[in-house]
Amino acid sequence: MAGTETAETLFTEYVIAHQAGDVDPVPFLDRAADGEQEVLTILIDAYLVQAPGKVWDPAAFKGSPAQRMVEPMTLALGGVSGAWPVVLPSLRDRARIKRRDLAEKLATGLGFPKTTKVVEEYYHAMEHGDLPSEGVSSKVLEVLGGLLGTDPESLRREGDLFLGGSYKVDHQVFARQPSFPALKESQVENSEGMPSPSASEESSRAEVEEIDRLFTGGTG
Amino acid sequence: MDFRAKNEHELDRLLDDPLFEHIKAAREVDDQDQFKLAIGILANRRAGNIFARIRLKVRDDEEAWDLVQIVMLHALKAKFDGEHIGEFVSLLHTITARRIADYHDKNRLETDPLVEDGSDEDELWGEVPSVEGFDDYSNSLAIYEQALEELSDRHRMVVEHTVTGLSAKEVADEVNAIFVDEEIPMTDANVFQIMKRFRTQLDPDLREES
Repeated sequence: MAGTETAETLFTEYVIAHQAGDVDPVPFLDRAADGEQEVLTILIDAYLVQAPGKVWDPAAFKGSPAQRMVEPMTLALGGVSGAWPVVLPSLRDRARIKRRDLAEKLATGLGFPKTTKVVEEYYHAMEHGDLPSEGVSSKVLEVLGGLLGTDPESLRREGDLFLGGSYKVDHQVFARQPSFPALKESQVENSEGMPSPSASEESSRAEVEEIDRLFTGGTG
Repeated sequence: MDFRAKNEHELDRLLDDPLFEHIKAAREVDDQDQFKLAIGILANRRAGNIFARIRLKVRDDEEAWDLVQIVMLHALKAKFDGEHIGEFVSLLHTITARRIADYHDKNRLETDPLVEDGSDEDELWGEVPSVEGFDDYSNSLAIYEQALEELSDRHRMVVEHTVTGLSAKEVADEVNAIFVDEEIPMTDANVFQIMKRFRTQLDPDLREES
């Protein structure tokens, strides 16, 4: 519901509030009379474009939204997953879903409901900037986009943010370690002439290989 | 490479572009602490105003902060790639306008997402395209700038100083200090009148009538 005050009055009040450290203009917009919001928006916007930045205050910085963005930005800038370390946790927070739960749903959506752990490792690497974005298949991004309420094309673009530029990253890329002890043991046994892996182990191996392909094999 | 670590106060005294150079240098010598600290100083300095600009058009607080992160990241990426030569802050504001426009386009066309965002990097930090309709964020500043252009130099100075947050008295003093040959000096009342007339140029209903 619109307020009753004029743009000029509210603009002056906003400038004073802004200079005192309160940057959010929405309460001021809400107080503007019909037809005044647009004018107030323009005046505040023009002010903000040239307004000085915030002076460093360690106490105020601690726990602030600005501080919370440092870690994901650092991961993104130092990693190989483009903007995913910034975008994925934000989308997940907004979807109110924990990482492990998301990984389970992702594994199920990809058709591997019993191989959650491997998918979770890969998803973790995406959020931490460790998984090269160009290796992640469209199928993964389609399922992930559906779970996070975004389109796969957006996820792809954000993942590819640092591809093709001169900003090269010397980064230890993610290399998933075999995570199935049973699988590793069976491989060892087989090499020593022991019994062949069971049908279920063969099936698990095939699933893991398919998951590896989906997360590292390319965009197709 | 000659790299010297700086404390937070030294970093805060750096302008944006030297601060960015420090971020870049910290990364090159793999000094994670300096890298993070300098990014923190930059985020502290610029995130609030970017957030406020976004909030003018995005009412969801969380989404607004998410967009701030994306804007900051894209701006840093452009600087790392050497794709932007101008001031960092102007790059931030350009990307902000672009991302807001994209946000609104995406919300309008949920089933038909834009394909150009990010796929053509030049567009990302190129000139903000003007879009018809007041609802588009990038158009707000265009309306303001167009209205400014129609003013005399003296009146333009009044508006420009007013939107920096100066009081009417301070604005009048600043204008009189520049336009010393004017027969009638600027007063507080003149400033109010000029701003009153200027605001009609910004009002969408009055603009349509004129």
